[in-house]
Amino acid sequence: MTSSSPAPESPFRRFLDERLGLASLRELLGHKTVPQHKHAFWYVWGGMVLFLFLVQVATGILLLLYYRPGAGEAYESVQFIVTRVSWGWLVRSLHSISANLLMLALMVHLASVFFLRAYRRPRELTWVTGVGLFFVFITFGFSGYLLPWNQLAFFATSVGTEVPRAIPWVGPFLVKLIRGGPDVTGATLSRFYGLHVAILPALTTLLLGAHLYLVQRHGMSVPRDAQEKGPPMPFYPNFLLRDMIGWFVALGVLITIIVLAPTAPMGALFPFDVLFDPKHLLELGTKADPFASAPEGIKPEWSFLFMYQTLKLLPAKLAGLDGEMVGVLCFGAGALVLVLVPFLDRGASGLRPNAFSRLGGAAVVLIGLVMAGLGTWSMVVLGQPLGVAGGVLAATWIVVSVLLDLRRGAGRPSLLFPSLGWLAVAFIVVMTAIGRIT
Amino acid sequence: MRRAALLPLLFAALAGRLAGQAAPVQDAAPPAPVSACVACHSDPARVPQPSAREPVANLADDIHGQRGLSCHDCHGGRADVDLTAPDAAARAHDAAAGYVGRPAPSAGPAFCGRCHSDPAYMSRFNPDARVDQETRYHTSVHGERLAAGDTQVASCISCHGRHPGGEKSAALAHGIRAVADPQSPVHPLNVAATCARCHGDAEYMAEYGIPTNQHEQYQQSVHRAALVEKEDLSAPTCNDCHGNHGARPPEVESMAFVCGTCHAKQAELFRQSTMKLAFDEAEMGECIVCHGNHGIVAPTDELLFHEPLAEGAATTGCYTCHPDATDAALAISTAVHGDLGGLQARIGEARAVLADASAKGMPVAEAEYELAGATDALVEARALVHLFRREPVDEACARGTKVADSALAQGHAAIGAFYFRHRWLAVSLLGIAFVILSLWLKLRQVDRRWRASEMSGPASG
Repeated sequence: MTSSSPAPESPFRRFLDERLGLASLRELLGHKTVPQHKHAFWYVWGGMVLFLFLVQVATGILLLLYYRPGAGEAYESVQFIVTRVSWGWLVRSLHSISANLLMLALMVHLASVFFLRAYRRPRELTWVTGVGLFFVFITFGFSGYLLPWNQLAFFATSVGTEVPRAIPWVGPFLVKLIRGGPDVTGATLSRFYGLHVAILPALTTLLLGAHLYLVQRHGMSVPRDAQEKGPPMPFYPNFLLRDMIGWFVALGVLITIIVLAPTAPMGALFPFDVLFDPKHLLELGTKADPFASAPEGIKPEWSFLFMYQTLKLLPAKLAGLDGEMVGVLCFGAGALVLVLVPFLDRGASGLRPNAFSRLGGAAVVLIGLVMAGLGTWSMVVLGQPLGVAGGVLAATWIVVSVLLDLRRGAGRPSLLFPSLGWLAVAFIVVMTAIGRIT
Repeated sequence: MRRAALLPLLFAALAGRLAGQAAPVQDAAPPAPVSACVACHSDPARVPQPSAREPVANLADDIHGQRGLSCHDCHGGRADVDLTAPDAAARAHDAAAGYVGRPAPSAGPAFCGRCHSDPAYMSRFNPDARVDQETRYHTSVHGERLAAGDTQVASCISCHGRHPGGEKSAALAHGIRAVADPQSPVHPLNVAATCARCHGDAEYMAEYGIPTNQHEQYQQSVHRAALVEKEDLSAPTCNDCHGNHGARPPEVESMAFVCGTCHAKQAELFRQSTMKLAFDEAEMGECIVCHGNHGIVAPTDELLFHEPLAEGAATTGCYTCHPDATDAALAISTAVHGDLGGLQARIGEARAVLADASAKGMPVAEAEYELAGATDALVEARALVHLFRREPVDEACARGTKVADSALAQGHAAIGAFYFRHRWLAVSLLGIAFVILSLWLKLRQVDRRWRASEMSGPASG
């Protein structure tokens, strides 16, 4: 039966095939496979990010039909969307909540690729374009947060755009460039709007195109120590159906949060309300008033909370330098390390460790010590043992990974870089937790 | 001539003395010249009586001292005498040099008025300063009685001066603070207590035969609540109705003008009403007949009701003058009461529904804003009561009810939408569950086919 003659094609299908080359696309899909092994579950997260991104695009386009940028109109237009436009409340809520789920899925995807070391040769550029997309989506979130022009967004943006000022020499210029002036005004709103609906989508198209092309070109990475469970699974339809089940689950979660969040008690939407407060995301609040006092307990979005909390905890002076400047530069260095991971983690590809790898190892130990110190501080000052637990855990893990590395010998992947990753995760979790509870 | 010549010198002297208390004297600076008055009256060796040193001790807190004036600017005399000379005291206190010493109580207003009635002089300190205090004082009951020889009545320092020995002690002129200074006895927050120092003292006021419970009543009033509790300094205290320097009780016919200073709309409506003529003919005190005076409380719609108010109430209702149940006026007041109550109830209902919708997370800010229009209409309707006709009140209430109905409808629609969303969620989740189940079944099917083809693939290939 496998060698039966192909079914006759309809004239319409033939028409499309001749013009669009659909046959080659079908052939491509038919040949695309997904490896089967114990870590294969993590492959669905890339598709999940793509699905949530498409939700963003669709709802964003619908919002564009009614949204009016400008300090005098933005708030009113969003108010109009959620109160007068048919299903406007759903479109706006989908856009707002799916943006947060997108960041969550993106972080899971990034972490899974990092810990499975899927970035190793020849997928370095797949990683770089993926991290580029991560930064683009962070910027999407930051710029989109201001667009409703409400009180919370205004002050959060005022605080957030102040951070680059700590960068030596170019800081004040950067702040002015981002804000379109010395303060957050209607000019900032116009700038953020342009960024959100034109510049970032263009960048996303480029990076996403490159990312998907590279994924297609190199296929899915199989971890070096994973035993394949059998022949690779066809992407279409077997893996795509798995993806789609995940997408519909995500859609169900999305609409449940949207409808229940406004009246759900805290904790009912666990774990989402541990990370972010959906009520605040859905409430429009009051219109931005630059002359009003900042809302009490104002904090940035959850995805920025660890940075905010770290900068808050840093002392005014660190080794004679401005503490905030040191913090901002450290985060900048961290972002650079994240981009360069495939080139620094030479051990992942089975190559001999170079100077960068050794520096990376030294950085892990150093950050581990800082982490443990911060953990102790958080317990002593805040009375939160969580920080200590995170710090001790991270420091222990680093020591263990270094010791294991020494025993593993040459030719085996180093444990230092996963340690760096765990450390970053622990650091982000601890700082976010402190940020949420203080 | 009388003040200007020595003013800079004495100001420098005073400033030097005051500065010397706070900061060490700078080495290079020459010693500042000191007024002979200040030098002598601050030296216990020369002036052993504490009461005679009190003026200098309090000059720093005194608005006059803060504006650069010193002793001789009010008391005259010579401030530049050589204190080592044997006749220093006589020369300083020389009547020929304009020395007046302590003025008699009856001369107080004229003493202060030398400067405070002089526009040219006062404009140096405040171009907008009023200079009619002395003139107005002479028109006040206080001024009239003082002119008649009654020195017990209040004059300038009675209200503006200090009472260091307690409320009943004699007033001292030194240490007079600016009216805007919260420690000043004539700051709006302190005026009532200052007036009550005399007017609340039954023994002190016995010979005048006027009540002494005004301050006690005022403490219960809506005016005092606005002034003290809401910290609204524009809210009225004694002087806002009675005047300050020209204080006297308002006449019956001017009562609506007094209240109308703030309640302009109500006063104007009352003047247009037929009730104005009736009140004038009966020599009734207009506003205060229904609302009371010193103990005025927040008016309620119950004033219009056809039943007596609670015993001891600070206000009186229509029933007081119209006790006959068949009185047509009482029918109007009862109908107006019903109109106002109806609108208020509708606003309350709309507010409650909107609050419920808001608690359910529904955006109702626009409806809440709209509802404010109904409250405005209710306020207007209550003001229109002062026309004592039903039609204008009816019209305002109808307008307000229409707005409240619209807000109420929006509130109900929002609550309806809330429950619709929950039903929609349930249906959608069912649909999503169905799709997931279908996909899962399809997945099982394609997985089975794929595994079968994989098993048969190598054999057939």
